[in-house]
Amino acid sequence: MLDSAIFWVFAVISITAALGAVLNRSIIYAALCLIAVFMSIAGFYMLNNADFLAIAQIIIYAVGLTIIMLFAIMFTGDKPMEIHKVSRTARLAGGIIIAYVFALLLRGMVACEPASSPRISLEMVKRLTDEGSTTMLGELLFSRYALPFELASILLLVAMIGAIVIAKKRFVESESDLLGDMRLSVDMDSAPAEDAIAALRAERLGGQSQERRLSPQTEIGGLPETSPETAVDKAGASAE
Amino acid sequence: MPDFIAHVGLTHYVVLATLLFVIGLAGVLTSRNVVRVLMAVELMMSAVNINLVAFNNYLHTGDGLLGQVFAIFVLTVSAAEASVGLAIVIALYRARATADMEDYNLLKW
Repeated sequence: MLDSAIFWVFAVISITAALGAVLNRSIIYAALCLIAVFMSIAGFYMLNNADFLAIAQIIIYAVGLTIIMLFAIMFTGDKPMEIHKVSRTARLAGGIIIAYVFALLLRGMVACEPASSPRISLEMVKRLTDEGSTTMLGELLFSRYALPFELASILLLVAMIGAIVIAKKRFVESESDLLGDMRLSVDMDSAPAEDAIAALRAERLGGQSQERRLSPQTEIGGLPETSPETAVDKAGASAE
Repeated sequence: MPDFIAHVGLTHYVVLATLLFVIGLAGVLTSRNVVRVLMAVELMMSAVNINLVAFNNYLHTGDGLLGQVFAIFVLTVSAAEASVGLAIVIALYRARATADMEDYNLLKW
């Protein structure tokens, strides 16, 4: 009875917050709604004798993942996205498709539910309530599911290295540029690359004019003390 | 009080997980912000995990926690997917200076 009451509370919270996460215009509020969804899902795990998973859900999803999401939002969301008008028919069609998928999934999953649902054995329930699921999960993960466990660790390692490699700045050789074959520490893909090159050029020119102003004998000598190539090298060094 | 409110069973969890999954699917299909799409994908994965844990609790007759072990692996994969996905988002933002899905047409010809 108490279980049912807790279920309904969490169900209302999770559905409302999930709708908020999808429909809310502000993406920060959407991320906060997502925290509420993950917390209530941890509650469902608790109701289903999965206390280890509940805590893991809170740590990984509700805290870790949402923090990374918020970081990505802060990184990418500096300009507001334009709001697009969606036509009435498109809305209707989308609603119909979503409702159809919902009915299809529901039909399939309710169909696989047996008429008499056997609960887990009584001694199992006793063990779960006495010592929790952590001990049993650990035993399983290090005996029967040892190989998938190790594979998961390799997967995490690969994902970590891959994320670092993808997200870090790239150092690219610049071609077809007046600055020659110096290495630019700017990303060639990025739009600000042009600005950076222009800034380098301005710096070079400014440095030259300053030198000229300070040492007039180079003007008299006819040959400037610093040739453009060395100035470029200087600029490259400072950029690096 | 109606019976289906007073006694929560496997069906309730299945319906709830399906609802969450479909909400996440709608989010993936309708969002234009790439971070929100990733958030909706995580929502779908969590909905699947609810199913795994509920089926483990209600249907498993042996003395194993197979559903929970499987849910742990789903958790692992979704964490890896989120980290790589967000790294791709950041790289894409460097290239295009936008988070709008419609502007990511680098592979379109």
